[in-house]
Amino acid sequence: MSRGLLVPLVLLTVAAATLAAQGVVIAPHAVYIDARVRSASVLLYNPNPEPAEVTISTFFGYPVTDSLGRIVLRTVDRPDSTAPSAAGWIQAFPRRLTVVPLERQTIRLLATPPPSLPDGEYWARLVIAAKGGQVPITGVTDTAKVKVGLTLEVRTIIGMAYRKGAVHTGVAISRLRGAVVGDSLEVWSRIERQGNAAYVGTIHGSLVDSAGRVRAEFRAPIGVYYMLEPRYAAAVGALAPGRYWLKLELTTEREDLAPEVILPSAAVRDSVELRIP
Amino acid sequence: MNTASKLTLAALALVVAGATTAQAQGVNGSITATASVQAPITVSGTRGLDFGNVFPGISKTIAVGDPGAGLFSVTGQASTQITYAFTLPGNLTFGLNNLPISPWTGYVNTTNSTSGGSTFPPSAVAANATLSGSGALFFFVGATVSPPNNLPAGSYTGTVTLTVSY
Repeated sequence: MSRGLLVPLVLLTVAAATLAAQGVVIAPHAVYIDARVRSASVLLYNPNPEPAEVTISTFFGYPVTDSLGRIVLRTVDRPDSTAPSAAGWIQAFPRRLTVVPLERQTIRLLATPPPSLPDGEYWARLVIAAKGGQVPITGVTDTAKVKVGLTLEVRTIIGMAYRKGAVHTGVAISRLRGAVVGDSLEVWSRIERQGNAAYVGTIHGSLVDSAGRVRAEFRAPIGVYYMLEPRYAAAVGALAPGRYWLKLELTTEREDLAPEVILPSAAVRDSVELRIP
Repeated sequence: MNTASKLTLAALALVVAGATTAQAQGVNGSITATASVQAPITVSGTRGLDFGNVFPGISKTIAVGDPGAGLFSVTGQASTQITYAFTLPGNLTFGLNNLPISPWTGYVNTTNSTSGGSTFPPSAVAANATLSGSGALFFFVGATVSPPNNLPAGSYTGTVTLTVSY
């Protein structure tokens, strides 16, 4: 056997031995479809000893923030004609399948957009529902007994984007503010997308003292489809009274996505002074 | 990200890519191998919620820290915020017989432990959580069943569904 085949097989075997559960591994976690190709694929791998029954569906939705600054998914059941929804014309094949233990299966995604679709980016969400074997119910084998057990099922929702023609993105930061609450630095801001495609990148915030030392920081992946007002928190130690700078930076760097699907954009930064009394 | 996830990622990277290329490097026979890494997400029902035997007329509770508690795990990109929601049965069934199950309890943590995390009420209302710096998140689920006095014997089952939006 060639080394090229041996290595993945060994890795798959080891992974399977350590991941006994109901569910499938899904890769990639975000799907991008180029209008020139109109297709993409998602790989499912079942690391478990039981077959996984999988169903695939799509819907339209995008991340927003709630009043507490948490990022949540807004679902739109019936998107109107102005919504950049691709949910109605991206289809998955197959939509029902069984992934046998320690095997992988490919889901093909085919786009059949309207002929007059303008240039831009169109979104949908892919739902992968996986159900494994029944959980054995423990207890003595006695027909006079009531035995109870529940099976776990998982639904994983990942993003899909269809790109046609010239697409570009960026963000604008405003209303940056922060506060130290207990042992945490809380950071709020308004982040508005520019361009005609979702901004997918990384947000990095830091609190810097007058000597230039970083006293707290956070870093997280972010996707801005329209506008977000997220709240981030970072652990911070005791701070002496004085002036600090709260800095926020968004870049389109993402180590978890293939470079060719990233829409590059210049880094955007903002900062405000934070006084600790 | 735990070792298993890293291995799975590596395996997927190698398998998914399928784009391994080889180039002759002069006369010494060496080759260059390339592969595209595709970061995966895994949402797993790691352990079913198991009450074992119960008795008619006597309620039984499985707490989130009990061995019988349900356990879901999520692995993905570090520090990513996710939205999650639960679909919970109001009854477990055996044929046409119903066994009420409520209330539900939950515990979310970035480690596989019921210490150091936080409690939450599992519900269909979407909530928010953040994967750890190593890309892990764990949900523990408990509940109480209240068998009526006249509950027929049998194996009562149901399904708990965790939906994770990545």
